[in-house]
Amino acid sequence: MVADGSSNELRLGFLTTIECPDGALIGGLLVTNHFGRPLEFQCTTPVKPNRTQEVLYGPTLVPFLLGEVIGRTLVEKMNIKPNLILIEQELAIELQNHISIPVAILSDVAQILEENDSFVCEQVGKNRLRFDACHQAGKTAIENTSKKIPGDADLGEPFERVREALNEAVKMGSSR
Amino acid sequence: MESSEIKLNSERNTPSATSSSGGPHFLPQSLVPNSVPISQADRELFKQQIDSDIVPLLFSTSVFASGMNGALTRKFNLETTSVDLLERAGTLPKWKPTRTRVKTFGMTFPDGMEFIPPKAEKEQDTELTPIKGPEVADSEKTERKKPTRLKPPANALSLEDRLFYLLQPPLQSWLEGQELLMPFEPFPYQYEGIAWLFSQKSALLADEMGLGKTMQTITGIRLLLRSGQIRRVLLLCPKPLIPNWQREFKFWAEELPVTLVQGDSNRRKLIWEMPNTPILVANYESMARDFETMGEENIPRFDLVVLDEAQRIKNRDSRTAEAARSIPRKRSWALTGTPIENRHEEMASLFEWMEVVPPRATPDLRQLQVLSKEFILRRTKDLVMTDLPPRLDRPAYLDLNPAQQHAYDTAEKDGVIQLNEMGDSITVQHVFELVLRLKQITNFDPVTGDSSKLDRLEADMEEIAASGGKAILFSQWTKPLDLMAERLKRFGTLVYHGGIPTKQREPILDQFKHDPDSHLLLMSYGTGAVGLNLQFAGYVFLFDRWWNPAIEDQAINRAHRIGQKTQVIVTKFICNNTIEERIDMVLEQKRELFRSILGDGDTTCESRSLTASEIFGLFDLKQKKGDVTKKIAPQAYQKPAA
Repeated sequence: MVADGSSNELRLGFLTTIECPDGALIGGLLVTNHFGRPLEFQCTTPVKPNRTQEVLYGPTLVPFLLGEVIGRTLVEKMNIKPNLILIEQELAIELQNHISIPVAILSDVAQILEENDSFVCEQVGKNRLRFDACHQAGKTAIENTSKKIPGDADLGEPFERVREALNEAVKMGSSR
Repeated sequence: MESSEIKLNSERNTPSATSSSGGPHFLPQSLVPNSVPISQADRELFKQQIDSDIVPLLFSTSVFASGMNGALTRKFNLETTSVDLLERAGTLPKWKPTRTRVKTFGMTFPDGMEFIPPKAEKEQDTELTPIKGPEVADSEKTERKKPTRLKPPANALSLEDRLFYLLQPPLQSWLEGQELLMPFEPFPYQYEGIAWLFSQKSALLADEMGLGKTMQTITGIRLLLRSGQIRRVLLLCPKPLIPNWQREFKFWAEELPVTLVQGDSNRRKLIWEMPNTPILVANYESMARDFETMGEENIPRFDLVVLDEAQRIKNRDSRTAEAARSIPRKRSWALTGTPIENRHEEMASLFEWMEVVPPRATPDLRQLQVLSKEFILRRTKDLVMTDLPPRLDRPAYLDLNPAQQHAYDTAEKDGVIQLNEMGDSITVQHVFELVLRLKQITNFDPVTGDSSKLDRLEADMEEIAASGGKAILFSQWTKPLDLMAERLKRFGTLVYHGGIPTKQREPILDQFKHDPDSHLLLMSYGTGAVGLNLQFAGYVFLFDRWWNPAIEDQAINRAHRIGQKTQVIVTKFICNNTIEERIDMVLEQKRELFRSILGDGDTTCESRSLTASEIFGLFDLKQKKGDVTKKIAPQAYQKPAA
């Protein structure tokens, strides 16, 4: 899938959120090329649900915030659309219900052991990616990705960058 | 809930009513379809009994305004901040070296062409595997390796600027990408150095000699060019080092076209003004000359200016320093293994060039410490190269040969008498001349040519040549080198000094490296001490002592540097009871003064050369005035001798 139709080069999105000291969530999405070089970065302002929302959304609140509120907004805001979005927070897979770009979870070993039939695993670089078995586009995207990513690439590393950037943004925001 | 009508009939317990009614007993008659109509008589009876009529009670019910439903539909107040990376337009740089170099340099600069690999070779690159370091076989070492991340510089204030650095990939993976092939994997401290340079606008890379300043600089330039941060670089170095830089650029970044500023003044002017020349390499002298001629307003602009052996501008009033300061530039990097050769004021000149202190500023020691922390990166071999073979210093204390001893004693006696006779008119120059004369005698007897040092050297060389080793020897003078070469011919001795034309120098180094019968290279401190890579030599001889241990270390580090496989044995010849012994003592006592500026762990460059008073102190100079004997010493401040 070539989101903007302008280039066939692989573009990977790395989406993660961090929690601010006051409990608010701030999300960031970094799009890189297949060498891991950054192409675009978007981040949200802190999102904090109120008490009523916490009560009414119950256990669905976090997936709702991570996937729909934060994830979807960031993807829509991106000028350079990624071919594949990687997430590290399991609950953010909710995003897949709202966008057509395939979303995959970066799995660690423990998660792989718990995997069930609704997910399919694929080895990409040093990592394993899990994605929704029903999502055919995801399968294609991940197969394309694994061809272009060198075997020793660490797909977990860009998340560190996003977290660091988000922390910096929080720090700068609070100092203003 | 609906509105309802309730009949108050608390007394109602008539069996007929309950038994005949098909619905609940409390519902009014009209709502009970199968009920038997109540007779008028009954009604009257009820009326009398309860003295009341049917009272309709209407309860209007609606949704309780808890606010919860509103919360369900309320949109989250969400804003986004768009952070466009500086990189976005330039991450894939518009400037493509592979595209432009042929067009630009193939046509214009034949000298630059030799650094451009043929296209066919380039295509093979796609087959290359990711780089593997030469020293990573040990699995523990591999695990220890930590990715080197770029840090935002202290002066990056806006979020955009800071995120630009934070979001870059670790250098290791950046360099492993097939866009940036490296012949060898850099050491961890080199990654740190590259990352530091990348983010610094003003930087003094002062790593000890042999730690790879050249490689770190070239890679830093490469990354900046690739990321579109810079477009035009000027590298200034001493003239003898230009071939070395050419070679290193070719080795570490073969795709970067390097243009030498050389030729007559017209040609140089043309080169200075030529657009699309990403990297210009020039020597200090021609730069100073050309920019003076051009006038300040015509000096070309650069995104980055690099000064190699930056101690060349230590004197801020020198022509070179002034010309270097006049170059319009965005980034200023200085490279030197010896940021302080003589006095800490020299640092001020470097900082002034780096534009981190105002013009003519004279920062004190404390301020220099603060500036050093921010703008200087210095690592010593002791700290980072724990696996570099050791350097063994072996002072060789020799007695002079009888002929030398006689000549020495006579010269010293006469010289001191002469100086004493001069009284107060004596200058440091007079003393200096005597020192030089005496040093020369410790090398060779002026009449017979006898030399205890040469005898010892010959003996040592027999052993070294027999074991197939290679040695380099340094002397202050070039003439004795030629004399020695004659006597040591059988060791395949080669000579490399300022008297050798530049074009012949590279072949000499080549022969020394590759010819198995060539065991000894004789060099002068002036020409051979900086910039050369002779790590295949395991022995270094210092035939006579230089005034400044920093220069001696530079010389020794030609051999004791990265790539050296065996220990390096350094033999320093010192003749007993001579001026050499005294100079050695004075220099050894001086290693404390500048430690505070560059911090602990620095063992090489804090030493100063001899000052005037120290040179006077080498002799017991006294003037007799009547009955009083007065010590002779310089009256006012005099510049150091070296």
